[in-house]
Amino acid sequence: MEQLIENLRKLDNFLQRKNKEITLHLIGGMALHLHGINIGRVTQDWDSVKEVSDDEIISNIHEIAEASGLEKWFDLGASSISLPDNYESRLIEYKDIKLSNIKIYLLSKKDIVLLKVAAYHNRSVQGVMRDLDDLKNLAPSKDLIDEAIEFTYEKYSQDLAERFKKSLRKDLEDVKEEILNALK
Amino acid sequence: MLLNKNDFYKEFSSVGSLIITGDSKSTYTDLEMLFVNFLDHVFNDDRTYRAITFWLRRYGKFLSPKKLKKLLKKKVYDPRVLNALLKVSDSNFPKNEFKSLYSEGEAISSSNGFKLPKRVPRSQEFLEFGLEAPLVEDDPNEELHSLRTTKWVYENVPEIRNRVMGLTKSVADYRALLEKEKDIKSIYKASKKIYLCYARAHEVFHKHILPLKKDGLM
Repeated sequence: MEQLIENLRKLDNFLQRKNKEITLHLIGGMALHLHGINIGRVTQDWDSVKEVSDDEIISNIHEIAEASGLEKWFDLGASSISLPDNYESRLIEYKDIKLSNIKIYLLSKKDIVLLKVAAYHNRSVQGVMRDLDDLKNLAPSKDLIDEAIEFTYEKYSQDLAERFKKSLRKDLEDVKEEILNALK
Repeated sequence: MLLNKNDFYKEFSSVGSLIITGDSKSTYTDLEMLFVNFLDHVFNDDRTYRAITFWLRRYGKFLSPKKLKKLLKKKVYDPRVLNALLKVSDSNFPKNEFKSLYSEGEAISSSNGFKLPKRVPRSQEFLEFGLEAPLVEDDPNEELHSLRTTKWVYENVPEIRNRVMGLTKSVADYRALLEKEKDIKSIYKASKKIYLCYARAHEVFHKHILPLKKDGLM
């Protein structure tokens, strides 16, 4: 954890020198941790849905990665995921890490649940089950899981033909059942 | 020494795992004893399971079958879990060096690993021994979410670096111990830390450590 914060401070120092700023909209295990949810174990990466496109900053992120051995400490790929509508209005500013040129915001717990359910649907078919572990720790209500299932359906059904939409709907019923069983 | 969860994650992160609960540790980590602890912790959760799988695929081939055999004698374990972890260690290592360690003993636990939904693909290594665990794809991108880079490990983990360089296991461990814990003066203490019999530790010290120390190279 210290290493991860140290990396962010190094990036912050770099941004100060270059007179540049970035904003993080955090999701993933670190967001849960900073929300004060004890998920026990986290992987060491900052997952932000806010895109960083400045080449100089990206280059510095890679340099810090190499020096620390944390190749994925700053996930530039998280910006490609589908986000809940108006999620920005629900962001929570995180101020416990003192930085001058990096602003940290956490997605709300509700939005994290929506994304976790979508991620569980996506990744569990590849054997990745950590999203279900996180959902257990988040302990969302049944209503919120219903909402998350609808969110996932809306995001992933947009470009599907009708028969595939039915199949997606069926898959999501299974996903919902699995999550509810895990939360019992 | 069997570790509680917190200490286990500290040890594991000191040799390359990115799964953390707090700080890492800077003292020596015995790789075979860490493997023995994997037996108790592999089913803690998905992140842990994946990190152990990736770590064994990358470094399992550097473990000493002989030392593992010695340490396993002092431990009560589920042979199915041992067999599955050996299988994972062997997966990138066609010589099948761990063959003699596979156990045919009875399962000591009623747990069959993770409870997985039907549609989740299973790990063949675990399934072979009647255990349920998700497939871990050989994906370098995912691996780097679980482990530090090989470069970092080589530069910062003498326990692994010395073995990659081809030193015999006992010399590799003794040197790694002294690199991480410079205040260890007694051969007896060193032998305890690296789980080596005193006579062999004595031999290693006088043959492989002392000459370097005398010349100021260690």
